[in-house]
Amino acid sequence: MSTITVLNPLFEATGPESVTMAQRSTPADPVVITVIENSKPHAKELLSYVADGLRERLPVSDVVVHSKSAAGKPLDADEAEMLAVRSHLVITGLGD
Amino acid sequence: MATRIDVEEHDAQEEFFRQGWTDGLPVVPPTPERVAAMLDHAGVAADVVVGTVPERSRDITAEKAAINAVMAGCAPIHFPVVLAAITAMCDPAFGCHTAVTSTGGAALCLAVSGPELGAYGFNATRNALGPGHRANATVGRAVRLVAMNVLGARSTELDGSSLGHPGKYTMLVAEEPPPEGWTTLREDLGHGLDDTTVTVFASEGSHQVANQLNGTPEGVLATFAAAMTNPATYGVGKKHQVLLVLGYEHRTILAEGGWTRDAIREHLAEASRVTPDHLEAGGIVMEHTTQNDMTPDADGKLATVRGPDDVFLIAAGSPGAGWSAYIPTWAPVLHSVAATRRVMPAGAGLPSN
Repeated sequence: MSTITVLNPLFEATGPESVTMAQRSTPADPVVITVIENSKPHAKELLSYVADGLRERLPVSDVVVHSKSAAGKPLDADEAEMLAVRSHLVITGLGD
Repeated sequence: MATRIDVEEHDAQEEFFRQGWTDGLPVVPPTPERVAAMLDHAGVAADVVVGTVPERSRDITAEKAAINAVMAGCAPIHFPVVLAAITAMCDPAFGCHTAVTSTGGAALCLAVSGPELGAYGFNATRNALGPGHRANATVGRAVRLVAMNVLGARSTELDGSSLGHPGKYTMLVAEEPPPEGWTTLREDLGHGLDDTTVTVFASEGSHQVANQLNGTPEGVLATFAAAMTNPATYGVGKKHQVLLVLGYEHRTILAEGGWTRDAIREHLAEASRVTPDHLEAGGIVMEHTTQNDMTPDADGKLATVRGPDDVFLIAAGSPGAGWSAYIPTWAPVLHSVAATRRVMPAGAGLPSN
C-alpha cells in the first residue's frame, strides 16, 4: 500500500478558538428595541407582528421596525451605528 | 498553511468523496508539488489573501485557491485566470455571500476576453458553452470548488439553492474575436485591447436563443428582446444584468447591418422594458413594499436593465443555423453586479484592477 500526501482544500481558521462575550448591563429607561426586517416579501408584515407582540409583552418604551435596503446586503457601518445609538437591543429576522 | 493529509493512493478518490471535498465528480489529488507549481506559475506566495467574504469571516488564500484549482483539473497556466476570477468574485459589489447562498441557485459564470485565449486552451468557437476543452471546464470548476470548500457554499452548509442548475459545476464563455469594426468585451468594460480579463456573473443557466430564418438585424434583436422579457426570469422588470452570447450568424447579421455594440445595448435596454400587464399575464405579482419596488416609470413600464451598461455582449460560437445564448443574472443589481479583473501574466502576482 502506498500513500500520497495531499493538502486540505477546506477553510482552516487561524483566529482564536473562542472569544469572550461583551459585558452585559441593565439598560436605563426608556428601553428601545429595534427589529430588523430583511425586506423580502411579507418580511415587514411578519416582523411587524413580532414587534407588536414584544410591545404588548415587554416593559419597553418602543419597538421599532427597521427595513434593510436589500436582503442580501449587510447593514452598512453608518446604518449599524445609527441603530446602535438608538437601540438597547436589536433583533434581526427574515421572511421569504 | 494548509494541513497535510496522508491518504492511501488506491483509495484517494473515495477518501475525497468521504471528506466532502468534491462537487460529486472525481478530482485531481492536490499534492504539495502540484499546488506549488500553481503558485510558482502565478508568482504568488501561499499565504497571500486573494479575496475576503466578510459576511462569512473567510479569507481565500492563494494556497487554498491553488489547492482547489489542482483538484478542478487546472494546469498552472490557468491559475492566473482563476486568481483574477476569485478577486472579481470578492469585489463587494458582486455580493458573493448572497450569490452563493440564495435559493435562486446562481452559477459563478465567467466571461473571458483577451487577445491570446488560445494560448490558455480556451475554446470560443464550436460548442463554446459545452464540454470538451480543459480550460473552459476546469477554470470555472475551480472557482466553484473554492466557493464550496473555502466559503462553505455546499448544500449541507450555506448553499440554499432550491434547484441550482448544471452551470453550478462550471460555467465559462470565452470570447471569439468579434466581427471587424466591433470592440471586444474587455474594451467595453474599460480595459485595453491587449489585456486579458475575466468577468464574473452570478447567473441563471444559459438559455438558447434561436432565430434561424430572419436575416435582418431588427428580427434578430426582436428575438433577443423576447428572450430578455420572459416573465419567468426573476430579474425581468427588476433591473438585473444580462450576458448575451452572440452566435456567428447573429453577430454577423448585426455587424453587417451596421449595428454597433453600443447601439445594440441601447436598443435592448429600451426594448426589454415591460409593462406590469406583461408580467401579470405570466402570473407574476407586482411588489411595492419590498426590496424590489415595481412601480412603473412615467411611460408605464418597468426597466429590466438599468441601462445599456447592464447588457454585456460577447461573441462566441461557430457557424451553424442561427444560435445565440442569453444568460441573465439571477437577481437584481440591488444584490449583485458583475465584476471584472485583469488576468495577470505568468509570475506577475495578483490583479489590482
